[in-house]
Amino acid sequence: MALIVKSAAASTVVGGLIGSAAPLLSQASSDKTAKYIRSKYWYGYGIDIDKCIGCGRCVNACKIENDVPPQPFYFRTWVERYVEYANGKLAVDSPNGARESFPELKNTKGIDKTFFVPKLCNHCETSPCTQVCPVGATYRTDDGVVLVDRKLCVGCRYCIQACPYGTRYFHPTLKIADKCTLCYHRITKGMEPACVYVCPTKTRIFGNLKDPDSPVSKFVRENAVQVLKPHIGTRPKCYYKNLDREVR
Amino acid sequence: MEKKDRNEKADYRHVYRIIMLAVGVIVVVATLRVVLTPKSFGKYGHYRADNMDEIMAQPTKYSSGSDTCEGCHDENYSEHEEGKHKGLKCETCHGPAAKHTDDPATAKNPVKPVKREHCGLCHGKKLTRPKNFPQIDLDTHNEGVPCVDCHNPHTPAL
Repeated sequence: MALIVKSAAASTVVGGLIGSAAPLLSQASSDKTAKYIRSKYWYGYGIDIDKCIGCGRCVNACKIENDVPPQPFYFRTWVERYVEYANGKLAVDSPNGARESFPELKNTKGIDKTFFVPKLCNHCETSPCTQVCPVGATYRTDDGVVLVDRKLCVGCRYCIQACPYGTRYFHPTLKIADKCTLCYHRITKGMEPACVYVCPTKTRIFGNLKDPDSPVSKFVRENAVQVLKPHIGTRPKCYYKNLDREVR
Repeated sequence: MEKKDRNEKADYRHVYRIIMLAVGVIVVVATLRVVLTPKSFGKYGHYRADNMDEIMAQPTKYSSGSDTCEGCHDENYSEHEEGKHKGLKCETCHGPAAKHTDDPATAKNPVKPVKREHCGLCHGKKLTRPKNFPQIDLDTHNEGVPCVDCHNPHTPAL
C-alpha cells in the first residue's frame, strides 16, 4: 500500500518536472504574426441599451462571418426583448436570436417598460469556462479574448454547462464547443468584430481597454456601466449602459 | 518454536520487482507526456499557443470599412455621406463584400435589398424601439409598394 502511494507520488513529481521542461525545449513556435503584439491589447466590449433597435443585423452578420450553424439553437450573439408589465410580470423573447428582428408585441396593454438587450460572450477575466476545461482546449489569451481550440476540444460540454451567461453552444457538425471569438481574426488586423461593424445605431462598442482613446475606454469612462451577474466573480468585460434590474 | 537460521539470506526480490514496476510506469508516463503534448502547449498558458495563429488566419467575409467601397462606388458613397443613413456601413444592408472588393470581376456581387421587409427590420414600428428612432407602420404606409420607389436608400429623407 505504501509503495503504491509512493510510486504514484514519484511519477507525479517526475512527470511534472519533465512536463514543465517541455516548453523550454520547444522554443520554435507561434511568433509568425510578429507585428501583432498581444501585450499591448486588452479587449473590451460596450453595449448601450438605449440605442438598440432590435434590428438583428448583428446576429445576421455574426452568423455569416463565422459560419455559425443557421438553426435557431446556435448563436454567438443574440438580442433579447424584455417586456415588463405593471402587474409585475416579465416576458423575455428572442425569436431566432432576433436575426430577422422581432414581430410586434401582441399584448401592449399595461406595459411599464420594454427594451432590447444584445448579449454575447463576455470574455470574462476569470471565466469559469476556461477553468473547467479538462483538456486545455479553451483559454483566455493575453489580450483578453476567450477562445476554443478546435483540435483539442473533445466535446465534453463542461464549458457549455459552466458558462453562467449561456453564451456557448455545441457545434452540431464539428462536434466541439463553440462561442464568440470577438472576431479574433478581424480584431488582430485592426478591424472591428462583425457585430460592431454592422450595427446601425452605435449600440455595440468595441476597443482596446489599454488605450484610453479607444471607443470602449471612452464608453466606460463617460457612462455608468454595469456587467451581467457581477456577484459571481467572473469579471466580465462586456459593459452595459443603462442595464435594467430584470436583466439576468 | 523454530528459531530462524541466521545464515539464510533474506529474499527481497518482491520489493525490487515492485520498485522496477513503479520506475517503469514513471518512465512510460513521462515519455508519453513529452511525446504527446503538442509543441506549443504551455508556451503562454495551459493551452496550445499555435491555435491563436490558426484562429487569426480565418478568412474575413465583411470588409474593414465603407471607404473600401468608395473606391469604385463614389457616387453612391457621396450620396450616402450626405444622407440620413450616413452612420451606416454599406455592408449593413448590402451584406458581406470582402470577396467582392478583392475581386469584383469574378466574385458574386453584394445584394441590393429592395423588399419592404428589409427596411422594416430597422424601421418597422415597434413599441420596444426608442421613441426618437424613425419608425413607420408598414401595414398602413403605402402597402405593397417597395420603399425604394420613393426613398433613395442612400439618402432616404424625402
